[in-house]
Amino acid sequence: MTEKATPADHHDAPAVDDRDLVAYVDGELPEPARERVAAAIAGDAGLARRAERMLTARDAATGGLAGVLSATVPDRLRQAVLAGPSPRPTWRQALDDLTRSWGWRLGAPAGALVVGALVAVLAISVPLRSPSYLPASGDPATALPPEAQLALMDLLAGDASAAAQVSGDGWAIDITPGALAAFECRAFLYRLDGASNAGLACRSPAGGWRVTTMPSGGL
Amino acid sequence: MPPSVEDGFQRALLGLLPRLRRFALSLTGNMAEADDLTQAACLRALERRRRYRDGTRLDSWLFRIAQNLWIDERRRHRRRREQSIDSAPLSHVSTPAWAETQAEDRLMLSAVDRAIMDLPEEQRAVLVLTTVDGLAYREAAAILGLPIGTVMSRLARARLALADALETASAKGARKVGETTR
Repeated sequence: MTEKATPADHHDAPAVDDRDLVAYVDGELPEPARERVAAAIAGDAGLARRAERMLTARDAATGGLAGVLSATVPDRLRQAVLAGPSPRPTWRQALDDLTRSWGWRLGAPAGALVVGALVAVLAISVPLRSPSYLPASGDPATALPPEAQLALMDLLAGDASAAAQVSGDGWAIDITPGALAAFECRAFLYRLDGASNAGLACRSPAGGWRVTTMPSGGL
Repeated sequence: MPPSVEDGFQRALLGLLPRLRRFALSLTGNMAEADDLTQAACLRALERRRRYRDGTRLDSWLFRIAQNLWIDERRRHRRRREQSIDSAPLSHVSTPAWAETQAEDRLMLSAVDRAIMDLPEEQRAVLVLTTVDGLAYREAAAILGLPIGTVMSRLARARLALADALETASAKGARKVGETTR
């Protein structure tokens, strides 16, 4: 809570509070207010002491956490920047980077079991358009851009009872509501450059999502 | 072939990484999550670079992205916790990984740094942006999406709390010196 203090010699002036004091100490107060606070501090030892403590804390904190600034930046961060906004990252690599960062991990055995059990449900419940071409890797989602992957994560975090769609340059994702949500899994369709495929995201017991995409040949 | 720096935008991002990591640390409270947040912020910045307008401060824009990602992540975390409390058996509840990481991080911090990290997150972020990083109140308010008055309130509380912590640490140090010279 911000404490208020009335300067002893300025009963008609507005009270000087901690916000005024810190802004005064930091030189962030515009001139009329600055004069008012300076006068209040000059006439009130308690205010002066409080301002002094804020100044001491500022001096101590300036340059704080310097170890973070001087430490070597982890290579993975540099690589993330250097890789740039590649329009064609592999789905597995880009998503794996993202999932490693935020706890969404791929391929855990329990998740694979859940996904396996629900593929049949998905095949019935999700109307697919005919996918055109599957890359040699066998993964139909090799080409979703990072922006689409982030959008997918946003959709998964959204209202599970509602359908939603998001699209970008050359891609689109539709996420389904309803029955699958009861299993803590959500199905989604994604279209990339005109081709359609399906995926399944299941919530793990530890939190986060496990995402599996399905080859169109299996559906 | 190793990737090369393609343009000024990427070069500027690379230059901002240390400050972005420090701001991320002020949000997350531990280095491992700070690096994850930093990486996610860079990825999003690269994807949205077309929305960046020349002439605006890239550091503020980047910090704002990190702040928004962190808000989203905390929201998800809260939802997951609520769901796990409702449904997970107690045997699934264990010490979170971040708690251990945080303990390791603390060993590498100075006394002032530890006092900063002990502040509540909302105060720590404001303190780091203004007092540590030197941004103006107005810029910190824009990054954090707060009214400037709120920034000032939080900053005042942070500074007084930091002063308290430093005085306590100093008194403890003086007591120790007294005990050893007795």
